[in-house]
Amino acid sequence: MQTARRYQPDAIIQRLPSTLANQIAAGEVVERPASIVKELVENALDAGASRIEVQIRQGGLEAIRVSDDGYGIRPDELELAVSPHATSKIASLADLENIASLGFRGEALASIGSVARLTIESRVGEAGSGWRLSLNGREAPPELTPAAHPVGTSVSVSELFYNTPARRRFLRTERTEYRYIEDMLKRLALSRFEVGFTLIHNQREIFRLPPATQPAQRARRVERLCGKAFYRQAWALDFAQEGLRLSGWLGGPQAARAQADLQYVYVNGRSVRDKLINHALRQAYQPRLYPGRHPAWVLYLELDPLKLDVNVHPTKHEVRFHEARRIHDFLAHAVNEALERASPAADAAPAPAAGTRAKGDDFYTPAEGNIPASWQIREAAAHGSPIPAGPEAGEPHEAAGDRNIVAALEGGYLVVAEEDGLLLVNGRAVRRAQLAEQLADTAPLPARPLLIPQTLALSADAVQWLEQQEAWLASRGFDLAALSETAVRVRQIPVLAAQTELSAMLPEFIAAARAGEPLAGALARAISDHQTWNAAEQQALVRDALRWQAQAQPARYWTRWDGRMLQGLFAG
Amino acid sequence: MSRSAYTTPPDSEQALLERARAIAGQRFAELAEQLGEPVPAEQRHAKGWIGQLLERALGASAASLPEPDFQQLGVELKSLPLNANGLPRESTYVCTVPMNETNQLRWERSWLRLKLQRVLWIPIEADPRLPLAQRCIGNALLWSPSPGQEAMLRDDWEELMELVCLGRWEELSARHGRYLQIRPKAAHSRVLTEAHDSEGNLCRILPRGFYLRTDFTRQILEQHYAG
Repeated sequence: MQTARRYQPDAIIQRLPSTLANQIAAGEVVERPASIVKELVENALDAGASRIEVQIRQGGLEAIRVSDDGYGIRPDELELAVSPHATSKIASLADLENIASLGFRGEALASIGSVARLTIESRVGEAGSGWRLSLNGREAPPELTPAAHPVGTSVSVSELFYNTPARRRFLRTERTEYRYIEDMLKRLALSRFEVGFTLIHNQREIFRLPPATQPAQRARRVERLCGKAFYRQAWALDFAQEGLRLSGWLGGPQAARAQADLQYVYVNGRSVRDKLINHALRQAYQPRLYPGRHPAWVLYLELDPLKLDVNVHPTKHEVRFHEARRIHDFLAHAVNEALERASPAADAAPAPAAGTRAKGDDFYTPAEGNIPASWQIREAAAHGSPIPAGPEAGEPHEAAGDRNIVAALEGGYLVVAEEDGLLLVNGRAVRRAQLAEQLADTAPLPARPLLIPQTLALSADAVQWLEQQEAWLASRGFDLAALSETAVRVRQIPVLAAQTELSAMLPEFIAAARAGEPLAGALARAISDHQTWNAAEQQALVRDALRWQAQAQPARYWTRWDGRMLQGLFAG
Repeated sequence: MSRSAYTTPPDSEQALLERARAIAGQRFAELAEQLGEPVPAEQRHAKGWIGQLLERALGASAASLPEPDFQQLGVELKSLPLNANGLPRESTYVCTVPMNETNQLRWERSWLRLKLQRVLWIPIEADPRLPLAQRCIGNALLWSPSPGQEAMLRDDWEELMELVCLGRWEELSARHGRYLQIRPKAAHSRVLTEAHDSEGNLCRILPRGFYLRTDFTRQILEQHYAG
């Protein structure tokens, strides 16, 4: 029970301190890490960014950084941006519009700055250098210092809600907060195809979506974000009628999901979760679905903005249509027709007609005019898709200095493409040299057990010889034991022998060593001849080859053909 | 070299590892012969048979559910079926999901955490193209989660248990949890268990289990074995 506060007639109404006022206001905007990311990414989009990178740590609870290549913010506007009285400094309506177009809304940054530590780095194109503005709590004045930054803006937020523990307690686990962020970014990425989005969580790249201006690139983005399963059986749709247009992709009923987690709807480019829209869409799907299943869709509704109230509630993603019933009818009709066309014989003959399969470039283009008045239903590119499963998912991360290895030939030769020629590396020779060095050293070598111990059949002589070498082999990390007179079981190997075909390697090693070759050298040769290398190991081999052999002659580890030599190889 | 099953459980982790080492590299046909067990012709029932065979070969105590397989040592036995590429073939069952009495549940005292405190992993070949008798038993690994791994599991557990407590069963999908997931236990699809739905009413649903995703077990393999 609370004690009732006694009425004091002479108490005067006090203005809330600005700190508190901001924190209260921030509650509307800054509910959780995802809402911060949303504000910052929207700011970046307003600033005309063509690439946006979002880096978060621990679901955004620890740190958030949003970088863009947009217009940037001028140093004098930086301070204004985070000022708690941003609006009071704006002299006229014209100023306000200017600021909005410069890519930040004063409120959002000020709100974030009131509940977290905030740093903004920015550089405007024509300005010679970048500036950094740090805000450490509301009481301390913002600090403005020069900073190196490419054109664009980076906003870093850390220690979210450090000064409002009550709100901090409402946050869920890192994983939950992370999923809010991922979902929100997916929503944005599906509406702004022309902008590249990257999401990095705990230094792990979750996705990197290049700007998608071509239809095939857009299709690939949908596949990447909504999954292959959706994309393979989705139908592209584009329908317009009396000033309304619905386009996008509909998931077939057979791919309905156990939860309604793949339903993206945009009204005039804005992501919404609207009851009326969902009701209409579900109604169209309903006769085709099993109870409890939820269809998947990515849909864009466009209509005259005057017929729409957005922002009924700033955080609820709801919209209000002036002609609600007409919109409902339009949606239900459009989707129903599309589903009927998409699967006219779905029950009888599910195999799609091969001849009518669409190419990737038939995909919907959000900003294009010339909407055909008729239905256009196409199956989204299915198997045999012209869109390569491609580098999108994990674009090759090329570490600095990596060579362009275009092939690994039989025999361990690595072919490296260079500007005007070819470099050929004798991978096995390099590997042999690496191994000989490590094996000759007398320090114990790191070793690991094999997942499944391997049993090898050998000659009786070989088994006997191996038993005599047990001490040396053990010092090199091997654990092997004779099972019988003609069989040994290998349990453990040195790490440097990983990915080696043991059944070929061991007999060769034994033969060479028994023929008198020094043990380390024989083992190095046997391993290098029967090992497979991953991409990083191949790069290391090329690096060592170039390091160990300075000149082209004698060609021990590499040889090279430059443009002139290549020319000389051919007649005429 | 015939041998009968151990009648007493191992009295130390060292003794347990010795026993595991003795069978590593053997084919199921060999081990079954030593223990006097026929190899089942039907591979469909292989899973249960493999589990029991390994328990006998290592001398695990009786499989009363809430107790660890090696009760005195507090060690849980888990076989880890591998595909042809040496990667975990399927997610690994850990324990059932508590359906009721979920209030006051803490990670520190959770059954899941207890079950994963100390595990003897035994990789086994499980490429379906290989006949059961021909498949080999792998090198055992006595394992405890690192603090980082435990933190990841705890994160998932908290997230999943929140949905469980709120009765949001229909939302619980394979999508939730990065390393841990909740799935219906497929074995008896007719047996329903009592739980609460999202309105707080009593309902009957399929029993669910906690499973470790292959992402997690793959990491363990990568950290401890030669590729």
